[in-house]
This record gives sequence, C-alpha cells and structure tokens, in this order.
Amino acid sequence: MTNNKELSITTNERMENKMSTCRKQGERVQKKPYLKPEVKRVELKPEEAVLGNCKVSGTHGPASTTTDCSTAGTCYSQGS
Amino acid sequence: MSDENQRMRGKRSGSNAALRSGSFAPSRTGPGGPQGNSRASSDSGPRATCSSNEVILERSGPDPFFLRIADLTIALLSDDSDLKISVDSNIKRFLVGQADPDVRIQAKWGDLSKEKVGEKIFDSGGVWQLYSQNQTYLFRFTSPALGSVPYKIAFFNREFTSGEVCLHLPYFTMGQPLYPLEYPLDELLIINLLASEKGLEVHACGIIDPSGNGHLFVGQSDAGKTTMARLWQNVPGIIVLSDDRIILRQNDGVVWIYGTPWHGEAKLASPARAPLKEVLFLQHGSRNERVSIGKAEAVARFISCSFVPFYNPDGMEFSLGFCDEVVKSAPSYELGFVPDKSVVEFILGNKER
Repeated sequence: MTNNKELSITTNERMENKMSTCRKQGERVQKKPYLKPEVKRVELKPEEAVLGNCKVSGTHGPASTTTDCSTAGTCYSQGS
Repeated sequence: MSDENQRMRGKRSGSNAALRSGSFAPSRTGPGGPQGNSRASSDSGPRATCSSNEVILERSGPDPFFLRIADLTIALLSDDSDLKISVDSNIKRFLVGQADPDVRIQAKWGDLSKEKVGEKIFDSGGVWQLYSQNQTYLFRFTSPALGSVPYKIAFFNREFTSGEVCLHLPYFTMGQPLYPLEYPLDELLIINLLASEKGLEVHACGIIDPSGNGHLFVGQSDAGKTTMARLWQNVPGIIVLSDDRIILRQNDGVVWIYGTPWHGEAKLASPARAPLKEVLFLQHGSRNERVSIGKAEAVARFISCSFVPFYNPDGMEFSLGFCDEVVKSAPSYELGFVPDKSVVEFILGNKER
C-alpha cells in the first residue's frame, strides 16, 4: 500500500513528466492562480421586479395624489 | 440627433397609414377627455382621472389598434361604442398598420363589484394580483384611493394569445378616452409573452451606436440609466432605445435589443432594435472604466435587473436560461462612469478595455 508521501511524490513525478512532455512539444504549461471561492451577493429589489410600485409616490401602486400618479391606471413613472 | 429625428429613424411602418385611413381621430381634448354621456359622474364615489400625458390618438369602434413592441404585435379593440381607446405619444410610436397579432385583446366596460376570482397565484404587494380561474389567468388591479373593488381586471388564456380587459365603469367617466392596457398591464402582458420562450425584459437603458451596434446599460433604480440616456440623447448618429426598459430577443443566434414605450424620467422611447454588442452594468464611479466580470456573476446581476414571471416555473426556467445565452453572446462588464460626456467618448472610442 502506497503511503501518502509516496503518492504525493508519484503525483509530482507524473506532473513533472507531463510538463516535460509538454515542453518538448513546445507548449508552455501555466497554472491558473488559485482564487479562493467567495460568495457574491446580488441585490434584488422585489417591488421593482414585480412592477408593484410607483417611483413618484414611492408607494405600492398608483396611490399617490400627485398628478403623475393619482388614481386608477395613471401611473406614468412606471416603477423606473 | 434631435428627438424627432430619433423617432423617425426608429419608426415602424403603419401608423401613418392608419392615420390616413381615417380610422383614427386626433383628440381635440386634453387630459380628462370629453365628458360625453357621463352617467357615472353623478355618483359621489371616487373617480379615476385620465393621465397627465397628452392624449394623441383616440377612437371607438371595432377596428383595433395594432401595437408592436419587440416584434410582438398586440391587437387592442373594443366592441363597446361607449369605450374610447386612446394612446399617448409614447405608445403611438409603436403603433403599426393592420398586422397578424400575437395577442388579441378586447376591452369593455363592466361592473366588477361582484366579480369572482379563482385561486390566487401571486400578489405583487402593490397594485396587482394574479389569479387562476377556469384555465385562464386573471390580473386584478386595485387602488387604495378607489376602494376594494378593482378598477380593472384582465383575463388571458394560458398562452397569452387572447384576452379581455374589463374596466369598472363607476370609477370612470363614460366617454373618457383611456388606454385599457395602462401600466402595469401592458408590461405584464409582454413579460408573460416573452417568458414563453421569446425573450426577456430588463431594467436597462439601451443605445444604438453609429455602427448599428447595441449597447446595454443595465441597472436597478438610481443606477444611472436615465443619466446615461440623457448623455447620449443628442449625440450624432446615436439612437436611444429607452432610458428604462429594454427587451432582448434572440434570432438566428443573435441577441437583439429592442426599445420599448416604457420610459423613465427622460421619456426616451424608440421602437428600433440592434444586435447586442456589450452588456454594461452601471456603477457610479470617479472615472470611466470597464471591468470584466465573469459569466456567472453576469447572469446573477442580469436576472436581478430583469422582469420575469416569478409565479411561472416554466417562464422562470426559460428566463434564467436566456440570461445565460445573453452573457454568452456578448461580453459583460461593470461600467464605472462619470456622469458627463466623457463616458460617451469612452464607450465609443475605447471598446477594447
């Protein structure tokens, strides 16, 4: 049973052989630099995404008394 | 390029023909419309007011308006002679002549005080809710200023190829010209049509450069879309498709960006389209720079700025896949920008960075 150290060496030997082979073939083997995985958070604005609000009134739906967004079906700021 | 030239460059055929045919009559009244046979106006209840946008065209009768947005054609008509359909200047740019519609919508007056709804599928938390009723979708629109009875409901079949809009007459004035697909119904309709494997609507500003390529500036509210649109507005050779809403569709492997009538504060809207060249996620900055972002991040940012039917699993699956197609088709960057004309020079003159 091969111990870990020997496995590691074997692995390195294999890599060296591969790199040697590649060099012989004229290729340059480059490893990508290691980047630690990280979670990126992307913000979602649900009230915008569902077309539920009005930009002018800042409320949900055309409930404001402003001229641009007063009552039924007159919301022209359209949640921009 | 002036706004008028911009509109002419992006204009679709048909609306002039419709005007010449006599089917449309320019409105002689301003907002509020003619009072006409206003039996509803004698009630003391709350009233719906007409929009503050200028009414450009209005008509009544069975001949439909044909509205084309991102190559999707909507036929809007009413058999009710008491219902006058009107469109404003933004919608007018998207009118076309008689065409084979993707969806046909009938508008009418009604009494919605006893309307029955089926199972609630979705509540926007705002003005509209979605129900499922007898193999149809029912959108219900309410306003706290008017009361619990909805001011409008809209039925559509599952494919969104036909529908009916019913307006609660007591809330309106008989003869008042109105646009039955008033926000957010027209957008909801288009969003659901697009989700059936047709495309995607995004929160973005879009422009066509002098080479005919499309640049998409994506961002949620306050990201700078309208600011960006205004910077491009009078640049020679540029068409601003919209300062707020852009539709993307794919045709023969090419992703196209389309203007829409749903503008932002700059009120810029054009029915033109262009092949997508690059996606730029807006970021306020102290200098103009493009920073490449990975495809996974680009998809996530793209979907967060998209208008998708969250209540429709198939539609969501398609939309997510479509975002993937978009970021594969064109490079994505985070665009830090300075809100002055320097960003225009940067975008046009520095495409490699």
